Amino acid sequence: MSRIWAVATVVIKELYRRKDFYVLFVLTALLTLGALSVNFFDDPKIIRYVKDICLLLIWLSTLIIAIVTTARQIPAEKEDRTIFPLLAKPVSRGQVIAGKFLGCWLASGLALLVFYIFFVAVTGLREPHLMWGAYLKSMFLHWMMLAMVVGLTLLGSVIFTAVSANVTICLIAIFGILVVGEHLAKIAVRQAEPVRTITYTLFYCLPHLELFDVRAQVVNNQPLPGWLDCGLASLYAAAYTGVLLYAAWLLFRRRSLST
Amino acid sequence: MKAVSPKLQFLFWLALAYTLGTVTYSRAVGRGTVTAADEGAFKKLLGDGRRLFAGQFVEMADVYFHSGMYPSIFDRANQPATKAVTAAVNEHDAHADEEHEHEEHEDEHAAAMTPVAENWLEAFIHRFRITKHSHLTGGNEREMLPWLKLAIELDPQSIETYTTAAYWLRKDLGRTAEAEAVLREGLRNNPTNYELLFEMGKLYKENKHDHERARNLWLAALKCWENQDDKAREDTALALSRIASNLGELEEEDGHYPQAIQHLELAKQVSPNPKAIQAWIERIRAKRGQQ
Amino acid sequence: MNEILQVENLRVEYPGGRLRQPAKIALHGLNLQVTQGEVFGFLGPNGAGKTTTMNVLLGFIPPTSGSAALFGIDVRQPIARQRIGYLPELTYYYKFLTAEELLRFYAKLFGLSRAETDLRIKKLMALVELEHAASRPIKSYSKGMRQRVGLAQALINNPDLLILDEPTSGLDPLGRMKVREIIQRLKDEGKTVFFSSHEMGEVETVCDHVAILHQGELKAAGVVADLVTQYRADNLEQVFLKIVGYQPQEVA
Repeated sequence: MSRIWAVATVVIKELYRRKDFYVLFVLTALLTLGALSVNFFDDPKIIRYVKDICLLLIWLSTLIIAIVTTARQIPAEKEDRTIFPLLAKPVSRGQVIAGKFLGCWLASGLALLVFYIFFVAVTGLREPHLMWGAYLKSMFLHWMMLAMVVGLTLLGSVIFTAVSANVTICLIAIFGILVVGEHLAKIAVRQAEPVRTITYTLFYCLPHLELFDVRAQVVNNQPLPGWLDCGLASLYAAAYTGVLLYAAWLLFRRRSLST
Repeated sequence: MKAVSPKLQFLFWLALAYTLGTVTYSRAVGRGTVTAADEGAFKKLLGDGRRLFAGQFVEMADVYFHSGMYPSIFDRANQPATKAVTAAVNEHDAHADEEHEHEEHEDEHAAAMTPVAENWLEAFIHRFRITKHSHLTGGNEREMLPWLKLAIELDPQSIETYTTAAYWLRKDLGRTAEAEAVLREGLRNNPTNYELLFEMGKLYKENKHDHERARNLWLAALKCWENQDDKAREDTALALSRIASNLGELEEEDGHYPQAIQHLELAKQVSPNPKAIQAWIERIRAKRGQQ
Repeated sequence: MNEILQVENLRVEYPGGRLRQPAKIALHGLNLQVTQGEVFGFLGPNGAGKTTTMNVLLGFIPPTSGSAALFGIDVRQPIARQRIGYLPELTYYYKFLTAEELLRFYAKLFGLSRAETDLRIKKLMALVELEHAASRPIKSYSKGMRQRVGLAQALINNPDLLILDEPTSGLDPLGRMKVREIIQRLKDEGKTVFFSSHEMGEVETVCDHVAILHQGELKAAGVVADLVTQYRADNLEQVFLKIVGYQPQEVA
C-alpha cells in the first residue's frame, strides 16, 4: 500500500504544481462572479441561476481536470521516459496503475473540494439557509462519479499512445454518457433490430455517470437521495471503477516497454 | 503561464473579458448609457442562433418553475409541448366557471411531467432525480426571471417571453413597475402587438386599478387584432375572445352594461364555450333590468 | 560462487508488424552469469542486444523464452528489483519535483524508513555534489546535474547490484571521472556493478569481467586480460573489433 500511496502523492504534487487547476478555478470564479454581478429587475434575492452556472462550471472544470490529469499519466511517463526508473524499482505494474488511479482520484477530489468551498461561499451571499447536508451529498456523489471517469481515462491512457487522442475520446465518451446515457432504453424502444439490442446492451453496460448528477436538487433546494441510495450508487461506482482498473492492469502488465 | 496550454489561456482571457463585459454592461444599463446600437452589436454577433438560445432560456425558466423537475425530450415524446410557465399566464385568464377544468388539466400536466421507469436501472436512476411535481411559490418565482430576461434580450420578437415575465413580476412578486417596464420594452420592439397591449391592460386593471387606461389599452389591442389579415385572425380567434371578455368584465364592473354586453357578444362568437358567455350576458341583462 | 545475475537461454523476439514481416530476433539464447563483487562490462555494437538484455533484467519486456533472475528471483517478480539500482542512459525524471523529493519518492518505493531516507539523501547529495541544489526543481538542472541526480536515485537503496546503461554517455571528462570513482568505490564496498558501454578504455579500466555481444549472440566472455591474450590483441578495443568483424579500409 505504501508504494501505491507513494505513486499517488507524485500525481497529486503534479496537479498542484501545474497551472491548469488554477486557471480553471479562476475561470469558474470569474464566470460565476460575472453572472452574480448582473442586475435582474433589482432583485437581490435571485440566486438559483448563479448556483446553476457555478455548478455547471464546477462539473466541466472537474471533468477536464480529471480527464486531462489522468490521460497524460501513462503516455507522459513513457514520453518523458520516467517510466523506466519507476519500473526499475520493486513496484509492480498493478501498483503503478493503482497508484496512478488513487493519485488522480484524490487530486480531482481536492480540486472538487476547493470548487465546492467557492460554491458554498457564493451561495451564502444570497441564501440565508445553506443546505450543508445537500452540498456534502452532492460533492460525495460527484467524487464517486469522478472515480469512474478516472478509471475510464486511465484505461484509455494505457490503450492510446497520444495524450490528445485519449483526452478527445474520453471527453466525447463521457459527455455522450452524461447527455444520453439514461435515455438509451427509451431510444432503444424506437429502434428496429439489431440496433435495438445494441442500444439496450449499451444502456445496461455503460457506466451511468449521469446518475451522480444531482445539481437540479441543489440548485432548486429539493431533497437529495438518502444516504442508503448514495451508498448503493457508491457501490455501483466502485464496481465499474474496479472493472476499468482491472482491464487497464490486464493491458499494462504484459506491455513491452523498450528503453 | 508557461505551463498552461494555449487553449486554457484563451479560455482564461475569454472569461476575463466576459466578466468585465457583464460588470460594465450591468453598470451601463443602470446608468442608462447603453444605446440600442450597442445592443445591436451583441445581437449581430450571435446572429440567428440567438433565437435558439432564447428558446433554451425559456425552457430553463420552465425547469425552474417546476423546481428542477423536468422530463427529457424522450419522456415527452408523446406529450404536448406546452410550457407550464407560459401556460399559467393564459390559464389565469380562464373564467371562474372553468376552474374545475383547470384543476383537471393541472393533474394531467403533473402526470405528464412525471417520468415513468421501464426497467430496474431506470427506476434506480429516477431515485436520483426530482420526481415530485411542484410549482414555485412564495416569491420564489423570481428565480425564473433571469432566464426570461435573457430570452427577451436575445429574441425581442418573442411576445410570449415578455408577457410571461411581466405576469410573474406583477402577479406573485408584486413588482408592478418592473412588469410595466418589461411590457413597454416589448411594445417598443413590437408596437402593434395586441397581446402586449392586452397584458399591459391587465396590469393597469388588476395592479394599478386604473380602469380608464386598461380600457384604452384593450380597445387598442382589439384594433390591432382586427388589423391582422384574415388568416391571422382565424388563427388567433381565442385571443379576441380573451380581450373581448376582459373588456366585458371591466365594463360590467364600471356599470356600463350595454358596452359590456356588446363586448361579450363579440367574445361569444369565437369562444370555445359560448354557453358560459351567453349565461354571463343573461346575468348582465338581468342586472340591467333591475336598474 | 554467489551468482547475483543469471541469464539462461534467453531469447527475445520482437513481433514483425502488420505486413506479416518475420519477427525480429533480438537475443538468441543468451547465457550470462555475474557473481557478487564483480564489475561486469557488457559490450557490443549498436543493435547487438545489450539494451534488450537490460530491459529483460529490469522487467520492462518479457522474454520470449529462457529465464533471467536477479539474486535468484525471476525478474518478472517486482521483489527481484529490491536490491538493485538502475541508471538509464538518458536520464529523465519528474521535472516538477525537486531532487530531494524525487529521492524521497524512490526511497518510499523501496520501503525505506523516514530516518534511513533522510540519512541516504544527505549522503547521496554530498556524493553527487548537489547539496546546494537539492530543493530546486529538476527542470532547472543542467544535463550534468540531471545525470548526477540519476546516479543518486540509483543508489538510494544502497543496492547490492547496480545496473548502469551507458553511464558516462554525454558527460564531460570531469563527470566521467566522477562516475568511474563512484564505480570504484562501490567495488571496494563489495557491490556488484553491471554496465554497458561503448567506451573500451573505460571498461578496461574498471571492469573485472566483460561480455561481448554481437547480433544477439554472446561472442566472448571472461576476464579482460584473458580475452586480450586469447584474441592476440593489444587491448580490449582490438578484441571488440575482431569479434564484430571490422576490417580497416585504406583511405585513398
